[in-house]
Amino acid sequence: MKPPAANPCGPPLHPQVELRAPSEVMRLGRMGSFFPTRMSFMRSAIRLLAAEKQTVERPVWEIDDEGYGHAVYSLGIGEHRYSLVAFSTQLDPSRRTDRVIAEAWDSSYVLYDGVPSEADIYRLRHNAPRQEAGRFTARELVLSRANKSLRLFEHVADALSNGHQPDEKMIRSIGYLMRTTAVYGNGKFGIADRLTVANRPHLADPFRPELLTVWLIRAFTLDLVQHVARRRNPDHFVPLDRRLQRFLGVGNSTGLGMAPFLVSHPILINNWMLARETALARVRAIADPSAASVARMRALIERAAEHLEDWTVVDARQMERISVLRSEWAAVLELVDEAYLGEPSPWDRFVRDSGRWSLECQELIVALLLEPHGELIDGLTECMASTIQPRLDPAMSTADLADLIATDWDWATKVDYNRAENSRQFWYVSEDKEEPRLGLRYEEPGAELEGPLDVARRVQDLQSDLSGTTACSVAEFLGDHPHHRFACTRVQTLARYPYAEIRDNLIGDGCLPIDMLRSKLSFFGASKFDPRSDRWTRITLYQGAPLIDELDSPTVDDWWLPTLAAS
Amino acid sequence: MDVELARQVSRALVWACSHNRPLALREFITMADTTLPSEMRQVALALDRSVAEPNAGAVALPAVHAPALLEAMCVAWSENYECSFSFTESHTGDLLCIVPSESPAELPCDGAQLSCSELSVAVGTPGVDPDIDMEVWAQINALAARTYVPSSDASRAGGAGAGITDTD
Repeated sequence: MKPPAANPCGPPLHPQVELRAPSEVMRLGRMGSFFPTRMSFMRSAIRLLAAEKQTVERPVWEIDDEGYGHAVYSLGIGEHRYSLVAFSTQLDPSRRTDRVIAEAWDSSYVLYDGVPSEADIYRLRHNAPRQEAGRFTARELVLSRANKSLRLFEHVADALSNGHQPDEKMIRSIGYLMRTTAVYGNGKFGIADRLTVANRPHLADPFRPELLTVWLIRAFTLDLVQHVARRRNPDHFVPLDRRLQRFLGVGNSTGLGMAPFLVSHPILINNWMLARETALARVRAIADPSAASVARMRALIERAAEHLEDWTVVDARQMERISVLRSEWAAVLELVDEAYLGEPSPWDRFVRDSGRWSLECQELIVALLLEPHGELIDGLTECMASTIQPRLDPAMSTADLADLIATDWDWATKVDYNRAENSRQFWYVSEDKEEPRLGLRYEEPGAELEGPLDVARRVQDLQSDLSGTTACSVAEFLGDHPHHRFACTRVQTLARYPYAEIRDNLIGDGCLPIDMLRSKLSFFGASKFDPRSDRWTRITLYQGAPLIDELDSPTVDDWWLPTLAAS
Repeated sequence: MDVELARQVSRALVWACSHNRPLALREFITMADTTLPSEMRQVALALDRSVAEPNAGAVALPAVHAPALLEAMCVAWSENYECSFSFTESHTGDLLCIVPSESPAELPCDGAQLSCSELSVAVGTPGVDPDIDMEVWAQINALAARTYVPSSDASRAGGAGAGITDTD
């Protein structure tokens, strides 16, 4: 029986320092401070399209003067073609909401596997706008919807129709014309299961179909606003400046729904984290960087400073963190001068020195260090997928299982879950459109239907029952304690995949879902985190990214922490 | 049912549905509230024991009321642990034995033997999109709905947190 590989990246091919320990990295506070890196899924998607010299066509544009109708965008990757079918529909303002439980939207989308026929478009016109209530087939890979940023959309349309560019300050402040409120894939609501496309290498990366969809949605929003503007006043219309187009991404309201994923896919999360930490370890091992990479690093530090100046949010907690980060970054600018960068192993020294600053600053430095080193680390993105499921080892002895818990689970076992503050929250799925929610155990009903995110508490229970058991195999132990199968599997999984667990109590007062969301969104490549509470955030996807006709641009991969000046 | 066991049962069902074994799903639906949870627990434990101690011989189970689901579970374990199983059933159906295929032990039961070569052909064979009728989907959704917490105004407003009006 072959054990699964412990390190999906294989033995080190490049010099690297010791990886940061999971006990340091896999804590909610640090995960909630992550920034997007060049290893993010959006960045690698665009690099793929550019490398394969893809072109995007728009074979259908049936949009009326008011901006309602449908359109199709199509691109080929490998032997396959994929088409975004977009529908723009009228929406009563009173029905506009970002919540998953909404029932109507400004626009709806499907990523179609192939090129849709007129019959397909007709079918989708009657189903895509209904979203979860519609009927779909295995030719639909992704289902999504988006609402307008009413203020900015109208402002841009009005400005262009009157012959001038929109206000840059407003564009910088909002950053998108539309925001998606859900992007469904992998078999949800009858669309294609992920397995349908799993054997297509160009779609194997995590969330590749979903993120391709969002990039095409961005193109639609840009075309739509310019179409509306032109139809209003064709004699005076001017197209939107490309620099502004590039700076406009797609907004997204991300809520709790994303958080349980980090717990239910432990091996996948391990692979993401392990690839990122390995990349950092490689960069830190560079003893004598080239003059070019040093210059690039200096330029990126300055770009980060501008990005931080643009990053303003209404949430007081986050704004305080940004304020601290801005002042710390001023110190970074001062510290990391030519003399500093001329010393041996400057990147390793930079990480060590960053310990004096906040977690936000530390993780911004991590993202910064990765950015100029594509040749060294981009290949690691191929290690970020996973097809392996956690697997119980029934032959393991209970003594060995207890040892594993003692070695690596004190963060879970030392907590008193009988205290209210350590068990106040419970995760569940609501009957409202199966929306994941977080309840208060001692105030609301439903805790008996709690989802399995209380991993820490379950492992403590397991440890307690193991201590009273005569040594035997895990298989025999489960004969008397079948309810511990999940906890046994998690403990054994962590032993092989050290970054698999969030090492915090996810049902205690200290668990802020926003930390889980930001961590995952950073791997997507999202920027401009704009938390609106501790349970949801606005973000922007593809801000600064190349437009659909710019895949051959020499700067196609240079859009980390975008600023309007650099767009 | 332990959540990890539930996941393994669901993976077994996915295999069954995509390999033209709709009976497994019907067994699941009709027995979900009766014998299924304890039966699947016993099947899982028996399979675990076979994996943990492949030379220990046959592992006996009381009569299995969900034989199609049992087959699917064996396939799921076979894929997971890269081993295979045989099982036999007595003529009276009151005893079922799970035997790792390498085991030389004599089978304590009479009756027809389902060779695991049939299973090993199935393992690794790509499945097809299952064609599940709407009534069965409705029954599956009804079972799933029992894991959802009823909504309330409070949970709708505070449970997920997003606002209800566009502020852009």
